[in-house]
Amino acid sequence: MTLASLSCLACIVLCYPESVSLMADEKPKVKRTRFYIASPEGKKPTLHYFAEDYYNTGSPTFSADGQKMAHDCWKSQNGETVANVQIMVASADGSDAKIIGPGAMPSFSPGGKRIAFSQQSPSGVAVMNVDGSDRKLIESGAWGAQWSPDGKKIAYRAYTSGKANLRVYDIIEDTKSDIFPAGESPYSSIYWNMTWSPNSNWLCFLGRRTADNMFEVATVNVEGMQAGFKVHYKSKVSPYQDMAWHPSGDMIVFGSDTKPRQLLKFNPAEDKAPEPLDIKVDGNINGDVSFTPDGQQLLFNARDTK
Amino acid sequence: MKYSKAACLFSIVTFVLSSLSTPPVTADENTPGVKRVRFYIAPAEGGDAKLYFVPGDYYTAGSPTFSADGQKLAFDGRKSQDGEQFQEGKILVADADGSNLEAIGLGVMPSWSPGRSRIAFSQPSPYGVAMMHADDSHRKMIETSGWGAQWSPDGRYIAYNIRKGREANLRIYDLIEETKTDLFPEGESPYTSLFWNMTWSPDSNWLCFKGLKSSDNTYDVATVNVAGKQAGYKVHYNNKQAPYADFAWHPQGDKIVFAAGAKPRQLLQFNPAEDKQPEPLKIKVNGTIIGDVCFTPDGQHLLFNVSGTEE
Repeated sequence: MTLASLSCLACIVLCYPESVSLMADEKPKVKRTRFYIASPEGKKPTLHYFAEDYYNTGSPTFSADGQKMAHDCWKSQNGETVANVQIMVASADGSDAKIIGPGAMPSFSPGGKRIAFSQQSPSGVAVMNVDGSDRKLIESGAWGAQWSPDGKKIAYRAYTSGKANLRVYDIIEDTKSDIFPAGESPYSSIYWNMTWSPNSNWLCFLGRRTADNMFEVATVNVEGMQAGFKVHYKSKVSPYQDMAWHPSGDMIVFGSDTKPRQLLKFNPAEDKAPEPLDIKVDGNINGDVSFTPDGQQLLFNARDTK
Repeated sequence: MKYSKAACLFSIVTFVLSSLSTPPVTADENTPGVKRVRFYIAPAEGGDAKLYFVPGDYYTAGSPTFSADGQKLAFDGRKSQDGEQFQEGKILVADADGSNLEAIGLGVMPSWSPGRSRIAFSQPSPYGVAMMHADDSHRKMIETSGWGAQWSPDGRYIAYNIRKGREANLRIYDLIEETKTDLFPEGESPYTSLFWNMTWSPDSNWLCFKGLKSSDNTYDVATVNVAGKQAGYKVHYNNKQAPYADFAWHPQGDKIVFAAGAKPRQLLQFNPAEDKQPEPLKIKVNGTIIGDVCFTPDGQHLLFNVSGTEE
């Protein structure tokens, strides 16, 4: 082995800590997704982690203590589709990754002991222990469960009177309430991977309007539409269905409706249009996003271009 | 004064209902010589007590508790005058002024969830601590062999006592994480028995309880941190004679009230932040104080039960 090759090997080892294992077939036949991490403004993105056997990965989320991450995944390289989606839990650095069971869009309880998620069959939103045990359906037919930061509520999309609504399950009171009064939801569809405000009082989501088929990124108060509802972004083409609310509360990030996709940011307290994050990464940004709990970094996924 | 008005309102309601078919006050309510329990209310700092509420046909009644919004009152009761025994005890719910009294089901020592949609309670058969919706639906056992469930003000926890061998412990059920943790590490509980109707601090960080010590068979009134004994544990009162097993923590956090063991029973008060012995809470009432206590959520008044033959 030459000095040059030794140097090259050392470089690879240093660039990819042991938690990020490269496979022998690093040049995939099917383009795979990888998780990158950058500053909250998108600066200095670096490869954070990829799931070895799962070429399609998304919906990343960290536990509140920053010790664990979870995401969904399937083996697209083997022809699997979203119907085969599984939930993977790993240490925050990507080590000790483990499939805990079928499901999509995991969302940790504040103590990291449980996960809310959506499942294909039987279709609905559910909760389970972080080891995959004790699965309990919250509501069949619902989708896109997200656990509030204070742990007391789980929000998801449900349909009422043929319209899409946001439903909030109160874990303490064992009650369910709809954010839009019956018949008043302006949306025919509300999408998954919405995000809670850090104070657990607001939700940011993507919806498609019944009136004109336009897509909206909006925030709504968890007490109901009448307590607060604001549209921050409108487009004819759908933005990506994943939102991340910065722990400081003053920034929400989501994937644009443009191609190649960009990540956009806005402050929900201001009335300014979302602006792009300046991210340079070797891949196409997919749009799945999550802030680290300390707010120092933004995790996102990108699909290989080569 | 909110609850004085409520008492007046109750008198009116009582009068009206007495004329109707379902009076909350039974015919022999004022019959001399028949002993029964009544709820009285007094200023939080003590003073003259006023009759607040007569619990209908339930001559034995205790463990009162207001919902956090002050709209509802729950307690346990049984028709002891008809020979009903403890295991036949029911959870009763009324509007805060005592009107619309309803027995919602078997159980004792109700404790409201913060939004009052649910109630945690204890049940003699099958024995254990459980919770249910406030209309008696969706009954769910939390733990068999647990006793004395109390819902934390923030709603996240339900505390109860549990016994393992000769050691009693306080167990915390976390509704969000679905975990159970004991406050005394295994083998380190100083108590052979822990009693019911303990009380949470308003910030949901502490519990005040009564325990029987293994070492000398004396009774402690103590506070312990919900994160475990190592995070905080303090004995405020110790006596050979058992105090009554019901505690009320004032919403401001600086006063806990309970009843001493000596008879006639007296209510005592202490500030858990201070190192002073509990002092009597001077209350004038026509009857014998039993010792079941709770503060109104606004902290203005103390509700307690009294045994007596007539008003």
